[in-house]
Amino acid sequence: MTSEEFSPVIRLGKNLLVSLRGNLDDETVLELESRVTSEIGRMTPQGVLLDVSGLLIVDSFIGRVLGRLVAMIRLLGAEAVVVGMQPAVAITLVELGIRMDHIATALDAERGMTILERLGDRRGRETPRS
Amino acid sequence: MQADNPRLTKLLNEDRQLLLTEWLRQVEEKGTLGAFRLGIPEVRLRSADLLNLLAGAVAKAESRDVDDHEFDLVRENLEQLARDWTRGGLLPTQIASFFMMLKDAVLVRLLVAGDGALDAEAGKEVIEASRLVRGIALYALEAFLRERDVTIERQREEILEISVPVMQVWDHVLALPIVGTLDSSRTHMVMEKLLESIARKEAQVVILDIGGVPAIDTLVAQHLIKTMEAARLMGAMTILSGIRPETAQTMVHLGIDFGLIHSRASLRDALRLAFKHLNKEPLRVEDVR
Repeated sequence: MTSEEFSPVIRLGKNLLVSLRGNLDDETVLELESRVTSEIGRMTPQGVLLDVSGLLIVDSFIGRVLGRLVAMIRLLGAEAVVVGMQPAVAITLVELGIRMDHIATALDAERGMTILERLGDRRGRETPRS
Repeated sequence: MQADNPRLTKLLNEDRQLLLTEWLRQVEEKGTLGAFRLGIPEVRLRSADLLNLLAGAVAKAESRDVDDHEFDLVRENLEQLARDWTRGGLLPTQIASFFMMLKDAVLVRLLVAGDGALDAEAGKEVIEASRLVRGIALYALEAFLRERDVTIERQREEILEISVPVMQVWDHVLALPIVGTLDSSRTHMVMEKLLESIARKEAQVVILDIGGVPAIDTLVAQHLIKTMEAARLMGAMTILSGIRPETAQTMVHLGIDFGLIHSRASLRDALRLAFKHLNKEPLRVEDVR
């Protein structure tokens, strides 16, 4: 894998920042999923920011990849926000009819973190059911 | 060098006025001037300027190629001409004819100077002069077409600007009144302009006001849904406003399902919701999905 293809996963305060890069294929996606899930297990972040600002071309495959990542993140008890989508990419996704309506989004990482905070606040208030 | 084209050189210097007169006579005779909405004085001035510069260039140049550096001033003049006359609304054919007439004028004057007959030497000069003027005509035409492309692009942007009036109504709040019909090509324009504005203004809320859309049918609704989803993918909360009671009724009867969207009857209520969203209140996940 070259450095352009490697998607870094780094800690950002209480959250995790995953920057999706390069030509994601089945193999690199599996590798990324395992890195993300193990990192979540290790640091138990409040949330995960999925940075797609580096993705200039998308297709239904990427849509599925994002959906699956978000599902895994939620199963592990964290929240996920997709940040930094480029206008052209947003248009492509809606034109292709790729459903992303169950995924939270933000313009940039800072806003994304604010959303995660507020989602965390809300979750903190929920009383556990007996 | 001068020695190579004595006839052309003489034409452009001593006989320049005669050449200019012949050129303008052709322009007026063929009626192109009438179509020139520029006026005779303007055309006269431009022609005279060009011939002056041409005389200077031909005197210095060894070749008759308009791309050579001796013709730099000539080319500059042609480009300025193209710029100015594009704005005057000239057609490419008119520009081309204008220079073709220069070619004819040159030939006429060279014939006259040779007393109606041309020997081999003169013949060669005529061919060279022809080639030169043709080069000038083509260069001018090219410059003209380039300028037209620039104008067309600028007008396209202006149209987009006018037809998609994205307004910033508050910090990080954009409002877009959608007026008229919403077909697929317009939807694309709207999406492009809206998303670009979201990025530029770092908007958190977008209010789409559809009070001005005459009829919401399933197709229009689909376009709206797409636009709202695209805006949401960029992290902006979208609120639909201006839904009239009849519209609400129609939409439900048609089975149009907007899904989890925020909608309000008035722009005022939409703004209120926008401010609520902007305040640091705890969010429900449904608010950002």
